[in-house]
Amino acid sequence: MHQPTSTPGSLAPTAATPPPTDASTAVPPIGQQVIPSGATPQQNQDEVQLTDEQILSQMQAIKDEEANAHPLVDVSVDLTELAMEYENGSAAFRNKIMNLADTHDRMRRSRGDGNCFYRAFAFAWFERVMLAKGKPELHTNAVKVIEESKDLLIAAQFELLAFEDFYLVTLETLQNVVHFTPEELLSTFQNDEVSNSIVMHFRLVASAFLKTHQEDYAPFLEFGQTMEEYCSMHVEAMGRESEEMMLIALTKATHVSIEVAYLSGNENADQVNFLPFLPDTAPYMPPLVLLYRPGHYDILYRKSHCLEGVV
Amino acid sequence: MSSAVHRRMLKEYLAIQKNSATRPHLEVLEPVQEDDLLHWRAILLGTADSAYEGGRFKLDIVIPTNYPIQPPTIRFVTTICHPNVHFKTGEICLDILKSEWTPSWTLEAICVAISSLLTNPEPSSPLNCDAANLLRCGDIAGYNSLVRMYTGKFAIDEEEE
Repeated sequence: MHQPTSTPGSLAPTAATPPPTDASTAVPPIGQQVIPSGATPQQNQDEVQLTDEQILSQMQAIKDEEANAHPLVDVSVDLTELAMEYENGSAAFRNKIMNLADTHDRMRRSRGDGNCFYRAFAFAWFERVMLAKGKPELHTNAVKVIEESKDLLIAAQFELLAFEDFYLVTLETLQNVVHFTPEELLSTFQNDEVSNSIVMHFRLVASAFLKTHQEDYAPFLEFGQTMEEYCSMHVEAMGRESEEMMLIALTKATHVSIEVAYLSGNENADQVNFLPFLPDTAPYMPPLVLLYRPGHYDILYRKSHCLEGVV
Repeated sequence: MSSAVHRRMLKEYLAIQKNSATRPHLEVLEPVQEDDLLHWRAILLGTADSAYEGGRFKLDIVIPTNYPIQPPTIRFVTTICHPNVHFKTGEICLDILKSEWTPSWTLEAICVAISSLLTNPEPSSPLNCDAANLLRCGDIAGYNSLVRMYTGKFAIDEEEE
């Protein structure tokens, strides 16, 4: 899942023009090389080439078009809908989903925009707090964790100015969540501004945790990469897919445990493999359950968690 | 969406006014018009002892409505000779403005980063190949004299609007 990384200060080859080769352009004396009118061969070439900005905005437009077909967080659906996706697929998938349905009855899709893990995590957590009417401590604990995340971000040297708006939107949503109806929670997470602010806050929390625990996590980075570089490229940037390290970081920073159901095409197994991500403290509520398919996370609902009123 | 970006830019505006003494190479960073916080201008000062010394380089800054999720669009208005700036359009090739943007940046921090790009060019990803080629073949004297010539021509004694 690691993408090739570029050197800071550089942008990979899109901007590079091959060095001139023919005699007329091969390193002329300085006086001739630069013509104030700007009519150098390189600039003529640029007129037919797309600029970096155009290429990036076109790529973004393609991604957006795909992603906008789905809501940021969808209504929950019965697991039979997941099975239907693989109707004509391999038996490995179908058997695993059938077995998964013994213990899980519903799923909820998170938009595949690279932020799916963070959004699924936040939604599943806030929903759990909202539905736990008889357990106010779930709400108190969650609010405390988010309030304390401000100190974590400051310890990781984020500027208050840069993260405050995301933090406040996240905190305010969580404070109000116990008064929400399930429909209100869903529409809150479908609102671009609120939903993306929450995603951004959780990204910064994961990044801050990694930056403040470098001694534990730096050994997992690619050779020569600093934690600072890793976090800005892979954790903080919106739309960058998450890796296991972010799941570990967010679990530990929020004291919320996660179980990830890995649905793969591995034909040697009929059962979905569950991978737990545990905080260092004793869990105070059952784990959030996420469904992972290569490159994408959704939310799963476990029957034993008895979440009545889920929409 | 737009109310959030205005709230954020207002906070940045107030912080920028408060910090003005702490950024020697940023002469100006302000909205073009007081009532539009999505369009800014900046003036970078060429560092003393560099080939940009004495130059005042104007930047045009456009804040997208989903800032800071998306980066601002920043270009040089003053013609500048630099490996990572397009000679004609002023487009800047700086990873943090594009592929490596993260919302934890502020406008002020970005301008400081652009200012430090002036003296730390990356000739391996050029928008101005002529300038980059001089650096790549190690002709520092040639590079500096070229930069100095353009700085004198476009960035010094320019008439104020």
